[in-house]
Amino acid sequence: MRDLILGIETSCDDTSVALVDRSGHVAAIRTVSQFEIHEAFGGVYPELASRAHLEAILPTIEGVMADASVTPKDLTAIGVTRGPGLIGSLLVGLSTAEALSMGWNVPAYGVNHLRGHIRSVELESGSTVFPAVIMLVSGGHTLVAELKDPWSYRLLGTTRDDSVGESYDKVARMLDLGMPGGPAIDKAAKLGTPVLRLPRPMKNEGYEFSFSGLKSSVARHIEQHPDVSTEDMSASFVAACMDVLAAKADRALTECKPKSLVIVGGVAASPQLREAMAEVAGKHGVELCLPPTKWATDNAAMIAMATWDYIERGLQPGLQPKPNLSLETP
Amino acid sequence: MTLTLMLQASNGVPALALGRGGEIVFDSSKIETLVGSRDYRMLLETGLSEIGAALHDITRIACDIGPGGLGVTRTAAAFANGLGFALGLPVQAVPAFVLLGAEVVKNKPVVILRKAARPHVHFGIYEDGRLVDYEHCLQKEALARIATIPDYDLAGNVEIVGHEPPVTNMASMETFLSYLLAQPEAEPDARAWPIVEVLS
Ligand SMILES: [Zn+2]
Repeated sequence: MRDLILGIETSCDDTSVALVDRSGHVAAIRTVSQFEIHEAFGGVYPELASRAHLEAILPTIEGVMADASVTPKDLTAIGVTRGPGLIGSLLVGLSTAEALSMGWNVPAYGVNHLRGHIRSVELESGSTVFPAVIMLVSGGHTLVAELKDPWSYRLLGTTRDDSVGESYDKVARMLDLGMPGGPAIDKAAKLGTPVLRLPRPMKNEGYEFSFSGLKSSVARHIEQHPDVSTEDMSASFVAACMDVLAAKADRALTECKPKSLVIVGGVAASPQLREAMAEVAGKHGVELCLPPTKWATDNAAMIAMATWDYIERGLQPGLQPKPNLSLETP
Repeated sequence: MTLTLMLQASNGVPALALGRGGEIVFDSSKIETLVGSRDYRMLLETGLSEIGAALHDITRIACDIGPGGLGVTRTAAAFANGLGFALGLPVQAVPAFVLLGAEVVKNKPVVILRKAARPHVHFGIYEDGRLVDYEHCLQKEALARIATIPDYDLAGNVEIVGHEPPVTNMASMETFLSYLLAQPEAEPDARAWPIVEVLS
């Protein structure tokens, strides 16, 4: 028995499987990207996503177990994402996990994907300094929360419409920058100057986010000024996003007085975000925790890591899909 | 004695059965409280306990691969494939239209029509003990073909004006088991891959 968790993540468009021990050491991980399948659609096509998960999942599990020379006897548990996410994609992971749990006689835990993101900080000898303010910014989610300890979650605010990542992708398409939109916009933004005046939706109120208005004003501006510089437009858009995110982080640090500010999710790879958050954290004298990019995007290692919390807490959520699961539900 | 696990879900009402030798010994579609349950683990545990068998007594796994409901077929296949992988057994993929044809056939061809994303349907003809034709096509194309068939029985979930309603949209587990017993065993690493619609 090697006390490993087999993590399975199929909430969106990547099939990811990992083996993680209690200390956060990742014994093996494989992630099969569906990027090429969805590229032509300009977004994730749910029906194709779940087909691709079904094809990829068992070979990926088999591969990961072979990579780490692991047999089912080495597993303490299986942790599988139960939500939030696309129902068809979630069901493939959950049904597979249910069958493996039964066939191998290993318990299975339905894991909250958002808790996975938050626990990604602990992977590979990283650690969260509690209490913490967490900002999760990715293609699927935008939220800010307070964490007193690994179990006391308080959601401060989430987005009313698009996530940050979604608006990056949409603006990248408007500017013909290609996909994935995040890195493309970041790159263009570095070459431009934020000279265009764009709105900062909800910057001065509470913790809720709204990015669809910002996206629409970019669209309007491009329509009215077709010859606008792509670089300046990107720089102005990124500056508006960063302004809003930094203002919310600043407000949360003022109110919650944590010891650290933790940034997770795919957008955490953005150099502009890292810079903006370093400034906010510095101003408040709190530690800034930014996991490496490979753990910031969706992956099964973070799901396995979060599973350890459930085991310690004696909580075993079932394997029913919960497409709209919120952060506060285990 | 062989113990066969069968999953049938593509008609939208999942069912799980166990066959010992040539006899069905558990059939969730016959138990009112279990009809349509998608909790395959619970169904299988119930079935095994009812017949006094253990999971590792299963010698063969077969799964309906549709065509039919996309999500429900895929979920059953994911469970069957996962269980096959865990138990070191292959999973035999069984097309739903072969089962429906074998269920309904008497002395004339069986036309099988199942709903797909409009305006398409899944269309098959079962004759002489096998599925002689299968297409995912426009409903009007299928109806034009069917108009040339002088006499037939209808199965599936699409009605045809001027014809008796479909006989059934689900094969019995007895039909499923006797079909399987007439087939060679699946290759060691065989898995169930659902028949999918061509997305346009
Ligand atoms: Zn995510």
